[in-house]
Amino acid sequence: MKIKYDENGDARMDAALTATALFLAAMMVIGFTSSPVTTGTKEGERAPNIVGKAYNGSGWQDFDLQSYYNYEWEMGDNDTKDSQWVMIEFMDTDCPYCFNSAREYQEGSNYFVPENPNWNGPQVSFLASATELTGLKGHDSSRAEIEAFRDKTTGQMCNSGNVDCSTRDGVEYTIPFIDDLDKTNMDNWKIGGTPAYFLIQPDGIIAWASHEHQEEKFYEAINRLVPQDGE
Amino acid sequence: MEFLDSNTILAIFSIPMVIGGLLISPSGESLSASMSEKFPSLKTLRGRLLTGSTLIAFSGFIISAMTLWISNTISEGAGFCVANNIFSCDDVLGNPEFNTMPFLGIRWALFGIIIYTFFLWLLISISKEPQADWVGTNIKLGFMITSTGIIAIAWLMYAESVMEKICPYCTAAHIGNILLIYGFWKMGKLHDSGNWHKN
Repeated sequence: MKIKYDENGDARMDAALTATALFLAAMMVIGFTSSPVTTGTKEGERAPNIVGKAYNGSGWQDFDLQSYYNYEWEMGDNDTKDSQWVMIEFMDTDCPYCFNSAREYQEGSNYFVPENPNWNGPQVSFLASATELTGLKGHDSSRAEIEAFRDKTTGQMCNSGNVDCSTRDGVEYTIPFIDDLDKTNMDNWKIGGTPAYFLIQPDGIIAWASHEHQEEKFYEAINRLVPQDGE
Repeated sequence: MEFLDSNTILAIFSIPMVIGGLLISPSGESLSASMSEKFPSLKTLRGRLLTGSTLIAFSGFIISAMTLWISNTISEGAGFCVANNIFSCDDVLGNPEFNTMPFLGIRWALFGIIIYTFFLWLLISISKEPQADWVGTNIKLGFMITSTGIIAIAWLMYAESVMEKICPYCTAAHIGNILLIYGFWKMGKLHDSGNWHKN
């Protein structure tokens, strides 16, 4: 019986083994020395960055969400005063629920600050990203409307265009309102409706997303997740 | 590697690519003359093309691996080669919109490692058995795949133009691919002429 075999098979197999060994060695080195974090909007993922313009009460300024982060931060850090958490609300000034819950969010933005003696935790910086939900009646928004909603000034119609923005509950905000009228941030964060809340750790990782905890309010999440002195 | 900045590391990893590029260039013969006593394979055109292309592929492999490592490191939040000028690989590799392949969803850097591993396999197997009857097929395969890589390079250059940033690591890997197109083309020419076996 004549046995057929490929005399050149060894060369290709040897080369394959060498190349595979190189590939595996590289992957092992990368795997042992780095730990990739996916960018996304689920808890444990890195929050997509937001860059644009934000209204802070005096004008529209450049905004970069990453400027709030401290990448050196770790959950075990006990110095809670030096770490800054971020709470961001994706909202629409014409969304009735956002309009009616404005007081709650505004009060929260003043409560979770180191200056508040009733709060023993770090700064929680509140942000709002104001969008214009398209295809809905009365949801025509503008920068002027965002300013009126934030500052509680007259002359702009909020809440599906039915009521003057100055009539919303609560006092004026002191937090930045990011311009997302073109829905870029909403699309990047894959948010279907407003309001949507996200609590972000000081290192930029999402600690809590409202769509994963429908039953929990944003302030309950802060109380539960943000370390406070003595913890 | 904190004692070296990102550009120095890239320069070190690019050394084999530069040497490889010189070896496969028309002036490779004169440039390698002084080394051919120590490395006899450099005396022949086939030897220079194979050695040069392997060095380029190895360098591209290492640079792609480093690019994936940088990409992972950025996702953890650290900065590696962030710069305020146009050359900032952090801005390119950290952009989730562009740092993964369309449809497949894997990181471009990982794809780079896979493809350079394949080039290494092609080249090492040819080097081990240069007279084998499948060598022509391997050379053609290498030429076809490196040429197709131009599409990926064009897409990534488009992404860089959108971001108005250039990633030096990605660019080095692209240059490696372009050099390999030339290397495989020259090998193909040599093989088709019949002089491959005479070398």
